Amino acid sequence: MNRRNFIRDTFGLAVLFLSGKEVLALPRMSKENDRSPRYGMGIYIKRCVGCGKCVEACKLENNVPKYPFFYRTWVERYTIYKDGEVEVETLDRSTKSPYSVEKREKQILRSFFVPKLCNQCDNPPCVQVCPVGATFKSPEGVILVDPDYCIGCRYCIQACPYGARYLHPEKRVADKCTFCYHRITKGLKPACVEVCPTHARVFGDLTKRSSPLVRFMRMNEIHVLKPGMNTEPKVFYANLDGEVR
Amino acid sequence: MEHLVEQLSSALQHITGFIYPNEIELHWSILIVVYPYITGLVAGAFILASLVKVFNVKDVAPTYRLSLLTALAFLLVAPLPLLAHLGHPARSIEIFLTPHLRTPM
Repeated sequence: MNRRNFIRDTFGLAVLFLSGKEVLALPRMSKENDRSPRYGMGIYIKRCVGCGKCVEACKLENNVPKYPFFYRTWVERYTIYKDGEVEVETLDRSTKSPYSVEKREKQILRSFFVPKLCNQCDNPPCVQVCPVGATFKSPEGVILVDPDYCIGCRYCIQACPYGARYLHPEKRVADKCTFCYHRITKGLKPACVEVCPTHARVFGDLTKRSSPLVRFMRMNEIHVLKPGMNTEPKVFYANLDGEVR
Repeated sequence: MEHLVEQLSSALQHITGFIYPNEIELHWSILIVVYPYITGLVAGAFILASLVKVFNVKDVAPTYRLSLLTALAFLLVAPLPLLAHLGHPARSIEIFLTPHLRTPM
């Protein structure tokens, strides 16, 4: 084999390999047809009482480490003082009771809770940056991580504008909210929606007019988090305050 | 894991204002910083060696052998901090076997 043939063959093989990968990847993308559901979540800010049951249920359901540094979903408390100062904190039942009343020096203008979770973006930055393609969008529009494939480089954790991902300290791979994929594919609701005592979370199919989520979107003024990031989130908030980041 | 949690708990004391709870852990930490430092050493040593042969600077001729060997030695260990930083270093080969072409990495 002379040099020219060697270069030609190597180049040909590389092109074949890459194009083969693209062709194989196509069916997975085109599966996202009109038949399959597109799941989303709606959150009534005004109904959330900050009890933290959703966080607890999520940790139990998905074996999330029980430390305040690893969350698939968490609840933030916003306190806006009369002088315009905004205080935000993450509620954690393992460290303090959500109902503890601290003495505040300043007068409070308003206060509310914001449950946060993965926004299951339609245009997900985390999927774009994965160097091996271990994180992907399922046909239902849920962003999942393949724990047997993820190399734990943490790029996706850096890329997420919502801080929804963390590195699982035992599995050493990126982990995130899956909308409880193992439950929703059986027709159940995600654990956080199931346990919410005030029905602050609504789960449903965005393509069906009869779904509770579509009703939620019809009846409320809805907003998404960080619309300027162009991530097209599928978690919608009703009556979201302008202070929420 | 216990060590990590202890570390993060002490870091939590120093946080003022608000930060997303998952972002308290600094994800690209010292090992990522060490990598460009080592590659910098490699480049520096290599340039020093090239001064002798390419640019004919005779003053640094005694360092020729040492600087080339330094460049080689550091070149061999340069990827190690990156590998050590991965959650699963053994799977790093997947980046080349099944590359995801749209990622900046």
